[in-house]
Amino acid sequence: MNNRDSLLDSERLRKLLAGELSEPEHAEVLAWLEQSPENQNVLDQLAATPDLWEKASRLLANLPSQADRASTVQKPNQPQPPLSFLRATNVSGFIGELGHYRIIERIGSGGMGVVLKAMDPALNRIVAIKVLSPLVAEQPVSRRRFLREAQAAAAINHEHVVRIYAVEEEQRLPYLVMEFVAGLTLQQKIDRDAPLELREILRIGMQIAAGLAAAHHQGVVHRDIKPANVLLENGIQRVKITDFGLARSSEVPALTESGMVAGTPEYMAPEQTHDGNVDFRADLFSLGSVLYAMCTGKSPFRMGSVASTLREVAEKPPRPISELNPEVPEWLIQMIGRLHAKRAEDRFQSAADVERELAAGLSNLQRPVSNMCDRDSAGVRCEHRYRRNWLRAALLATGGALLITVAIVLASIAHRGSRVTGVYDAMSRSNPNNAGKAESRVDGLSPDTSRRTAAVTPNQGGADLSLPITLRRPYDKCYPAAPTDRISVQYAVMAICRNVGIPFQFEKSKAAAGDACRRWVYPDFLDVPAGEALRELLTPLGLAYSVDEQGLFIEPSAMKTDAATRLDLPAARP
Amino acid sequence: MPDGPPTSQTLIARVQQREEGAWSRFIEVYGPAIQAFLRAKGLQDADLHDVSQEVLRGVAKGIVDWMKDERRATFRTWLFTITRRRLTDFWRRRQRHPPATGDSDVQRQLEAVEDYRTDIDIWHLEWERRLFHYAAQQVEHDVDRSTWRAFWLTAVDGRSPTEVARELDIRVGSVYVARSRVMNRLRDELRKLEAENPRDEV
Repeated sequence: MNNRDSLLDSERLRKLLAGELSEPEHAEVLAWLEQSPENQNVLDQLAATPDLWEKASRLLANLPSQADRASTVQKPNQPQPPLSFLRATNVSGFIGELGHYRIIERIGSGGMGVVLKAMDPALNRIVAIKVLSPLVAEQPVSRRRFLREAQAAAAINHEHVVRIYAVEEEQRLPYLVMEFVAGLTLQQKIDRDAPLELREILRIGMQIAAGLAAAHHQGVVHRDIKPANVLLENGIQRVKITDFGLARSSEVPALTESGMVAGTPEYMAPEQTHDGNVDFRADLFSLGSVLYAMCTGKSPFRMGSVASTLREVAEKPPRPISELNPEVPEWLIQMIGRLHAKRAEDRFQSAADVERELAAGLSNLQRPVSNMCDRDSAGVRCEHRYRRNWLRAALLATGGALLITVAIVLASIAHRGSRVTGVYDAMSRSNPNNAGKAESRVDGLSPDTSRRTAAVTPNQGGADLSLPITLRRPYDKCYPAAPTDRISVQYAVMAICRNVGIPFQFEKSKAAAGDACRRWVYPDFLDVPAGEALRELLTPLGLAYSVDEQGLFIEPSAMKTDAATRLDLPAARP
Repeated sequence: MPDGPPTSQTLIARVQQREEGAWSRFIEVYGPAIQAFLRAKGLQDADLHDVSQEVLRGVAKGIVDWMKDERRATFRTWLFTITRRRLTDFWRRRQRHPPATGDSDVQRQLEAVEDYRTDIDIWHLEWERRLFHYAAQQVEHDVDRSTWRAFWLTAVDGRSPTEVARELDIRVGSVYVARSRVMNRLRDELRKLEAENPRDEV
């Protein structure tokens, strides 16, 4: 009795919650708790009010899927796009018709259109139909691209790729007829079960790699590999990759206002954020992210925090897997690290290689002595290689950060010296005909410029770093840019231009269309005039620019990002 | 309401004073609430990001005046006002340049925007949800995995502690302790967030 009273002592329970009880005391309280629901209630109420318990249960319910919620889960109160393109049907059990297909129901909606479940009466089979959103379809360029990409994807015939049966068009509205796969998406599985078991991670990863290898062999790049695009067939859990090559086709440059944006930022490769010329290695990066998500339950690069300082643009490695799930073997962690190499050339060089390594890991696991995995010769060899690449990545990241810091510091210098218009005039005079090559500008520079830049201490720019920085939408859709990425420079240049009030323009390029991700900085990025900074920033970087009465021109060739040269900034600030 | 730090220490004040890191933290904490609200109002990704950027710009611009206002509304309400105004602007613009299809949709959404009462309900819900999510992420980060799972499976998924104990291979009593610990921490985190906006309730 005495014992029981002392247990009820709330001081003691508080210690329990704080983890301050001794071992025997702790065991005693556990026994007391197991005695009756009343005792459990006492503890519950001490921890939080019933109201808070109720709220936790209600408000946290959708937390795990948060990372991918925007792109995969249809919120119940989100208006569904109308299915007005369907013809009415008088066959019962169907909601309409499209071509000769009878539509059973809508099974999903996304940025690029809707997915329907349908019956193909000619072959008497169930199919999935993806209809391009009318908004996208009304752009002839995008419509053609969609059809072209879909036709390319239709050529892939592999057990781990969702089969495309037909690519059709009705009243200028293109649609895809695909194999219907009943089952969960990998995203749903991750939400439900993450972290997945190692065996399962390897099996799923291997099958994705196999599907990718087949597609890459056909010259098709997926461009939007993410858990929501990986289907797990009911029962046998066979992996099927869906939406090949479509991510790109739904990107319509002219639609920035009405907003169809494809791709999932968390799973994108760095080069996808700035370069139209993405090759199969982008898929390998994304595969790394998918493996990461299976291991940890989280996507590696979560933008939930709306990466909000420019320092975040200079990339960070994801949170170490070992912190999130200590059970993942080292060799797999390193393999993911290599898939995550910021530079495409540091990654695996084919999906087939990835498939082989995962298969080897899986067969090791299935051997009686299962933890030999990370000690076999391949593992050791890789470890060595990974470490070197990792070091390189870290160095590059530091370089990127430095570059950004320099830009900001320069901006703040310019802020102090208010010679903005003077500099502008000087620039105009020195390049009256807009004819320049990079060298001629560099010649005009004092040779000390870059050194002086480097000598500026970060503290001087420190105050400006905390200015509100907001990034325009495409940024959110992106993985932070690679550190050597010229577009980081471009950001800085553009932001400075805007703030100084110099009209500017990058020459348009044909590659702009379909660029997977364009990113521009809001004018708020640096809220300081920075005329001098502009010159000091451009020239040491070897960027060719010229100025005439219409504004500042930067030669696209110097930007090395053809796709990024299309200007897409919001209207100038009032 | 527990005693928070003095007003000048709040996140909002730190943002207003342009203190380093304050703005990014502001976006991290409140950005998702803004986005969730806009999403609930039917905006899709691209528009949603545009409008939420507008909102953030509005905050950056207006925060000084808001802080100065003696009779200011709570921060939560102020942010709601900005968000809703930007959303209305957005639909107005959209109506002027309607896309080729879905006119009636736009019309409907425009009307919905006028429904203030619904909006503020959604806002409060999404706001609370966001604070819970944020707090939960902090706690999840700090506790070990089985503690978190014990909390999650019983308190959120509503499964029986006995079953969960079996699954996690721990004592039933430990399940109770684990979930109460998490809940307790969650409460503390929420209080910390409250303290950052002393005039608001969580």
